[in-house]
Amino acid sequence: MTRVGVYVLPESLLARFRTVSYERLDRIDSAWVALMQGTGPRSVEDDVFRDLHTLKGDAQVAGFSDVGVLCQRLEDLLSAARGRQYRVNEEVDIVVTMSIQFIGMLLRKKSDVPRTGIDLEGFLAQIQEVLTDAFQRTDAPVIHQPATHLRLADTPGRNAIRASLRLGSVATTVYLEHLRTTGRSRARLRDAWHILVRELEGLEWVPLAPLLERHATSASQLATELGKDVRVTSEAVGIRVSVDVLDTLNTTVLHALRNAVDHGIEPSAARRARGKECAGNVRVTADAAGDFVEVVISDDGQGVDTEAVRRRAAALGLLATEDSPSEAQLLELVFHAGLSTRDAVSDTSGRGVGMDAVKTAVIRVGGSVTLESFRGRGTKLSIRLPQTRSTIDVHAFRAPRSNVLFAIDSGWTLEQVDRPLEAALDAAALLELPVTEGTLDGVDACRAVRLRHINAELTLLAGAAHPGGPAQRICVTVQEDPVEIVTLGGEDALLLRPAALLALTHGDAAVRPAPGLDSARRQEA
Amino acid sequence: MTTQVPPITTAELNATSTFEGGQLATRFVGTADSRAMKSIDSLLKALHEEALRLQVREVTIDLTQLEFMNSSCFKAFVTWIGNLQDLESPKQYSIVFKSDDNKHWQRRSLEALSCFAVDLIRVET
Repeated sequence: MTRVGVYVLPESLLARFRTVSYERLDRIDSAWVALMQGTGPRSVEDDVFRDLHTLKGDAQVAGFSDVGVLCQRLEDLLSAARGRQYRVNEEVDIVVTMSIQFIGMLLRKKSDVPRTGIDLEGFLAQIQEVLTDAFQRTDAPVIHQPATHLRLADTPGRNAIRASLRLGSVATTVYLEHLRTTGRSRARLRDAWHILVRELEGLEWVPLAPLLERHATSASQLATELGKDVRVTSEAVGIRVSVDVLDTLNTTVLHALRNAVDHGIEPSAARRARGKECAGNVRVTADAAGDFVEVVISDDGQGVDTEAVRRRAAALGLLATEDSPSEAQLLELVFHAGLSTRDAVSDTSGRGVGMDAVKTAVIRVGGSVTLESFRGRGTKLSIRLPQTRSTIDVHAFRAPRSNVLFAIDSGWTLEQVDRPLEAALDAAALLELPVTEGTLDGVDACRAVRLRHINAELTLLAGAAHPGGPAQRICVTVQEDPVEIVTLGGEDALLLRPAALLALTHGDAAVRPAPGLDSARRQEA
Repeated sequence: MTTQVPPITTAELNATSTFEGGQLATRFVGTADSRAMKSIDSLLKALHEEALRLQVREVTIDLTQLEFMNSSCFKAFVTWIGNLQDLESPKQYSIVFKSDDNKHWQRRSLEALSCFAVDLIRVET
């Protein structure tokens, strides 16, 4: 028998739990394969989360707390993958698959037998690494994967990423060619470059409307389940967001919509008694303004019961009984961790994501969230998120004898050195950039700068210094490409990749590498 | 010395097993995608039987020449490890994965795989 707290779970129930759990795992496994291959219907996605959520709950009841913990992390992985529309790299696929297998192994173990040899902590750490690596802001999926990985992937999402990388490479070539050309051809090539960058934006930024429509449908279904008459509508025509913004909006909007249906909209009888039309209305709209996107979820329900919030806050010790907080202060308390648990959010309002988690998720990406309530007339939740491109911190300097701006990933240290210029690699010559006539930083301004990265070292020929800073990645290319175009302070810059540059030299004495470059190549390889 | 483990010989993947100096080893070369899953599953089952027949203390899996293995194929390895764990302790043997540190996918995948049985799995670079 298995002990659960003070209870002892009969073997028959334990066996039943295992059987049902294995079936759930099989379904999750099959669905994951279908989602990765882009062959599963949309309903499969909901089924996966439902199965996983139930498995997690069952495991905790059955005393398999380790299974519960792993289910939670798997849920995190799947949520992140869903936010990327399953455009994830092979590592994510492998770790998700292994997580499902790992859960199966934990279920198989006899509960009264010591689980020697199983390193759950280590496995959870691997998941965390994958979550960090694959879904962090500046690290687009599969970009750092070897070519073999790209070759093997065949899902539609991955094709889009491969197309994006190929287009990035082509756009970079066009940009370099425009630098090398003069006259009207130069202007035409620059126009072509702009067109390609716009195309890249189209691949990297995704329309928001389908996500909002899907969540609106989900909220409508919830209303039906709750026996409520609610019209849920969405509007986000022409709004495109980065996958990071989509990630954040995915869970926050879903929760907010379900919360509005579950808690905001009153039953029809109550609405009639208040002189409202029987059907409630929940609306989600999106608007892009400048570098921000704002999503507003509004309803015509009963509004927030601030008196209930005050009582709850007092019970939790967040307010003294003699305090007299304003309405705004009480509404702010709705975002407080602990207050948006059982009383404020029922089990139907999402996967345990409280309003505090909504606010945390929004703030984490530099956004803000505000809640307005109109007693008896409804609520309005506004989520405002910054829309920025991926950035990379760079050192910068002018190319020698040119106005072209060079950038180097700040992971390398950069210092000016007193070394013969002939010993330095001339990247401008290597890239066949023309000498700019009449530049202020002419031949006399040339100097040698040493780049260091761990044990790697490389000396480059440089022109005038530049303060550097965060550069926007507008045309991402793979690590094997020697150059990527970025913008730094509104100016185009060539982000140089030292090791890939070296590969271009082919042993040419005129552009021979500085001492230590071989080790640089090994580092970046 | 040849073993009773059937090799895999396809255009994408080769896997051959040897038993030399008391060491049972299988070397994978190429790429292993979902098409290779059944072959790998069969190979690992045969390898397991062979390890038990020869009563070896260790089986080496050389992945240094394997360019990539997808998630489906890893399932076969998990199944093998599960079968190994189900054995009584005296019959169990260790698995040594030889990996190439330059193949980033190997590092994380094998580290995750070793968590299934840290007492039985070792990853060498």
